[in-house]
Amino acid sequence: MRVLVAIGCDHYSSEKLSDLAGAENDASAIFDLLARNEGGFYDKDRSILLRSPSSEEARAALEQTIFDTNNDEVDFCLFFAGHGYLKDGAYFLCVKDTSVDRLSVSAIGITELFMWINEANVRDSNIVIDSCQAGGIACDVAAFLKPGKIGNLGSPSISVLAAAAADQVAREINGQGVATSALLKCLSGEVVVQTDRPSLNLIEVGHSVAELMGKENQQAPVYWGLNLFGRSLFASNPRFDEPKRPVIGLPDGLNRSADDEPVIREHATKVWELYLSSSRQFDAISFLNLTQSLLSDLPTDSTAAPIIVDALATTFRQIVSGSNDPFEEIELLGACIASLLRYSDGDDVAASVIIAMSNQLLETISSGSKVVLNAIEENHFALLSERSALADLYYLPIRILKILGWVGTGQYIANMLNKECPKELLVRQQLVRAILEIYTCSIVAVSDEQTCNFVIFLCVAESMELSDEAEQLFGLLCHTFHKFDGNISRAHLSGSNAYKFIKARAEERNAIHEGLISRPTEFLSALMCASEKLALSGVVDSLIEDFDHMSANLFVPDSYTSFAEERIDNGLNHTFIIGHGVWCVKDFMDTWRTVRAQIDSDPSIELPAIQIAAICAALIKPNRTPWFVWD
Amino acid sequence: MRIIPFRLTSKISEFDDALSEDIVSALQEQRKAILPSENVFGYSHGTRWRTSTAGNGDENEDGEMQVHSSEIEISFQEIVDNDLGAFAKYRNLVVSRLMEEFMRSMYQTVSDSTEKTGNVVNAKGGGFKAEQYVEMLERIEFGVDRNGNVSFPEIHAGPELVEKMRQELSAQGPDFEKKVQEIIQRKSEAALVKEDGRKSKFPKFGDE
Repeated sequence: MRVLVAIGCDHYSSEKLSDLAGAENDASAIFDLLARNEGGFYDKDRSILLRSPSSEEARAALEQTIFDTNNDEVDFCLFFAGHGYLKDGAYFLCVKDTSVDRLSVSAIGITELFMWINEANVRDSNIVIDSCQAGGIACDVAAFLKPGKIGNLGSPSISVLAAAAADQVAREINGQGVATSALLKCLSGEVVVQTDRPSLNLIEVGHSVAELMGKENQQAPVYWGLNLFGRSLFASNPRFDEPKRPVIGLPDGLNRSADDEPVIREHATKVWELYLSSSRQFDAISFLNLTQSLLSDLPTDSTAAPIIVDALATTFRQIVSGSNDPFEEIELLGACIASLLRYSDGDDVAASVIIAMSNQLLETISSGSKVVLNAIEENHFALLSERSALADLYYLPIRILKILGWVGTGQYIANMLNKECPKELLVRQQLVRAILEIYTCSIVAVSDEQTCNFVIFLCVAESMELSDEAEQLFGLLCHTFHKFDGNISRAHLSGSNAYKFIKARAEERNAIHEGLISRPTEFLSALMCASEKLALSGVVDSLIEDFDHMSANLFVPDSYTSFAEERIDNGLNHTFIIGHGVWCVKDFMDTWRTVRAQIDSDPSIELPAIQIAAICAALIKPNRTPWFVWD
Repeated sequence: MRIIPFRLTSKISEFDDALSEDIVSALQEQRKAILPSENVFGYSHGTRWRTSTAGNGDENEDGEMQVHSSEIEISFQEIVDNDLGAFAKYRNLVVSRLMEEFMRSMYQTVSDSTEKTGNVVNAKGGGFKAEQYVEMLERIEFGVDRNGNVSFPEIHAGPELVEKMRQELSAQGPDFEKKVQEIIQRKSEAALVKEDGRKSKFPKFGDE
């Protein structure tokens, strides 16, 4: 059962709250559109429209729609237009008899509303507020979003669209709130939100409303949603392109399988802890590990994995899209894709979700590349850390290779999905050239975790028309690897161990603590592969004697579907030692042919979804290298 | 809003913490060469202290902590150039500057204290004379360490002055040497007697 409560309040008895002209119109327009007789998304008989109600009338309407349901599950939507008031960190919706001196008893408190939703049998909740300081609802959210509380949330899905930020006034033009006007454009189909699915969720609508209002330089809406159970529904999609169906195969609406739900709820607290910490900084490895842990606990016959990952991507994207690190959103999508890797061979929906997300990832890499390019052009030192200087002796070379790795991944996806766009290619080229020009001396072999980035970039450099740059990159890394006697650190060093490593390197100590050094290293294998690919094996051969007795490795899993696991148990380490069977690149190529044969024996690697997901897994967890990208 | 790809905040913060710990540890090593560890106190609270030395009649002034700081500039370009020399330069400069400040502060404290008690030997026109050395010894009270050994005074001076001292003292005859040894003997015995007196104040096993 879907119910809508639309409240518009133009008239106020308190002198401190001026009358409005467009709030009732807004509520009526929304009600007429969403709860119309034919084709309305909400059940008109159960839905309620209130014009300038008293607080008693408003509470009664909310109580009736949320609680009087004959034990049926309810999908609930509240639309409110009128005055809003932010007081002591709590947000209130003001109605006709609201007194600003006694808001808690004369207005509708958002915290109170959340409590009702939590207590009632509400399944999907959408809250739209077109009021002054509506973004102040975030204050209530901060109090409400205690992981323990959300973990036990009665409603599996809550989405909010607030018309104005906490310090902004919601405006009316020609008897209509500007936010509601933008919202109506999206809901009526005048503006296309998306064409893939028959329904719209409030997050994607919020995104379109924000874009519309941003274009017209109006107030900035705030929108977010908490959902682990699938796709939340807010309204029907008038621009759904039916012939394109089925696109992905995910069900529209929430997944409430009795077998899956307890597992999801069991992990919810940890998910929300990560969600809250992600507003400070998103940790892709933690996200991937947590998602994998949740998916592992699902019943073996469950089909919920792609639904959950899709919901997580939607929920977390709102948080990371506001970050000053454009690669947080890229890593989020990469982690989501990687988490589905184990399902991608045999589960068509999972494979479809991977491909759909890969398209999003490609767009995000392109936009992120543009942002970083602009930042570097504006300030040559833009890639340096904000607060630390010396740490960048270690982390800047890693950061640079990470950027190149993701840029290469963008190209890999574009090649695989035939999505090449000349403009995006140009941005990639410009970014790579700018990095190589400005940060030449920071292209340094520091850690084995640079290997996967190096390999991915190199394998697509030619298709990016960056062969010269690939040679330059190879030359710089080869030179510095040799300069530091092949001593590079293991992947995933802690910050304190990174310090010890750099200190030893700076003091030119030959004996860096062996626990810090990658032995055997995959980096040397990458250099040897690269030298062969670039026809520069002479460069490596001229240095190779200096690496006498050094061990190198190439790990290949039995199946790439396990490539995102924390520890991949099934696979083979192809280890070789310089000066013991391998004296030149040509000797190494014998090892490589064995590696390639093992890779080719895994039929799953032919699938585009698996290739992309395996690359994403390596970029998120860089202690593995997707050697399959090299022929 | 500044764009920073891959902020790696927590790892960089760990790196910086390790740098701070390393600097502290280097400072501690250098400090040990000047001050024995048992004379180094660490407080959790407050910025002042008063050492109670009941019975000797002295009125000790409150000690007050001093902040030592050092600012070193590293250019962005050095980092972008991956100049590992910047690492050593930064670390060593921070340690040496902090140590310098510490030494300066320590000598100032000693100087203030000796000025106040009049325990000062005047060089009268500069240079170093053997009789001043004797006068210094006369004015100094020897101590006894925890193992019951007499701890002799140390001379802190610049390398040039130390060389002059050495030359001046070795140019003196056996009478001078004998005089010095007598003072040291007398002062050592006095220190041991005083130490015995101090130790005798502890209750002895079997005392009533």
